Amino acid sequence: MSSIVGKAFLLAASAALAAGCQQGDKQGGEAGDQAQANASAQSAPQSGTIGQALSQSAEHSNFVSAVKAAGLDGTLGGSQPYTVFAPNNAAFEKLPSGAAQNMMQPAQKGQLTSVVTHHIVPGVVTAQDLTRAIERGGGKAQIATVGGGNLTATQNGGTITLQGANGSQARVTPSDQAHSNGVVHTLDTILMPS
Amino acid sequence: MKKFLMIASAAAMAVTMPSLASADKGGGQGKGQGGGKPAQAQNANGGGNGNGGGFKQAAKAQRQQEKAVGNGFKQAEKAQKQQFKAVERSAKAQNKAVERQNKAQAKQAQRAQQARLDNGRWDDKSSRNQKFGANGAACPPGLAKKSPACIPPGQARKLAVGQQLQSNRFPQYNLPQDYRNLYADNANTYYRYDENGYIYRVNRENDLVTGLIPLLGGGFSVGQVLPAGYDVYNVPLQYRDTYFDTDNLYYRFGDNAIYQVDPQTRMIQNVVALLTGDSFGIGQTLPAGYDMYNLPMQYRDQYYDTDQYNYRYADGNIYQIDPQTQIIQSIISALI
Repeated sequence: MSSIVGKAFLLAASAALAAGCQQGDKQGGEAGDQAQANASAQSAPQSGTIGQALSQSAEHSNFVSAVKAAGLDGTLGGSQPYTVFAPNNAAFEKLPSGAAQNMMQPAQKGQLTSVVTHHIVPGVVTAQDLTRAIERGGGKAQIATVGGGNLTATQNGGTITLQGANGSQARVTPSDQAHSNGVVHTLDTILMPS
Repeated sequence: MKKFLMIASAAAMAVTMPSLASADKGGGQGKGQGGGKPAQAQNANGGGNGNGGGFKQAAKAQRQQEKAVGNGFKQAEKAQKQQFKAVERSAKAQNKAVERQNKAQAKQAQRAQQARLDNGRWDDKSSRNQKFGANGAACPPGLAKKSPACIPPGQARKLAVGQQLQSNRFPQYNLPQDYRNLYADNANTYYRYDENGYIYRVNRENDLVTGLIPLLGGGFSVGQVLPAGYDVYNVPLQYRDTYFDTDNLYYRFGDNAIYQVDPQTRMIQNVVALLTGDSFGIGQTLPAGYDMYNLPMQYRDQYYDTDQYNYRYADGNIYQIDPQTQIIQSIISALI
């Protein structure tokens, strides 16, 4: 089912391209690349939200707990668009022992929220958007988070690395799956804002 | 008829909703929902629906879903209101206690201030542990000390890393008590608290901001009562068609987020949107952190990067940028 819808999208995208090429000032190359990026980014729009997708993902259960403790589960299950760089469970195991539990304490809510929002970015950033921005930036691209600090993305060979505001680094496993309100990529390390 | 059909389909989709999203209740009827109001910027619509159509529908369905869930929860809310009334009573008592404290501190502050002026000195340290409103009284946590006294934050712009801190805006060390052990001024670095909910780390040599420590969630989180001063609807313009007050739901903006609030108890039920706090004005340079194209899917057919124009999404708007100068040329409302 999804492959049929996928093909429909590719057809529609190329039809849009062909029809659009009449305008004189359009840069056909870039438009083509972007349309391809859009098409390859998803086979079909998921009816679920990024919040739903995360809650159904076994490898992100720790991050989901953190999101809930920070009171942001409704946000990621809502209508506004975000891209989430979600640390996997292994990333939480890298923390010093007891740190993960400590983070979930009510007294730490402010700190926890600032860590969680350091992994949330406005709008929709696909894997291709990431790669293209790094290339255009001569090997580096900056991403503003809703938490306030910026992330820095670099690429080495085929691997994308994200650096948090305090220098912590994570390897990105990008996802091609788009949901109704954004995209979720996976990190192998938690990024700290300060 | 159409409305009935949409609610029916939303209800059908509601079956798949997990408890995660159950707190998100949409605003009531009234204003129409715009799918996006593109300005006269570059119109690149080749006529294909492609990616745009599917996502517009999905987002629209999501909004309907939010509303259906909201209406469905009205019953449960009524039962919960009993509990909330108890919370409100204690909140009122708290406010009264704060008022009493404010008055006492105001008198104390005035006396101390007068004494300093009489002595001809302004001692920084003596006022270090107090956060004064315009009338000298202390503000409840999370509120700014500007004039008029104790207004909600979100009025001044958040500074970015690399920007210069104006010393007249932050004349003295003003961090909330809980953070003073963590962030203390030293020979190379000093810290200042922005009522928007950030601590700035600043290089002493050049007064440039080297880091931001956000305190989002310090006083504004789900389950807590909004502090006094949020009586007025203050949602940013680009979000007003999406988040508007009804009898059952209020929306308030603070700490770079939009909160869904119970009108009676002022308790925050949900954080419906997180904003960046960055400043985007026509003629301004695009802030750092927007190197990548990040438009939501339903807008990508219409607004995509070329050598002449770049497009970036943030805070409910699409910004058209000159790729060479990074200057924002126009702002397109991107309602979702």
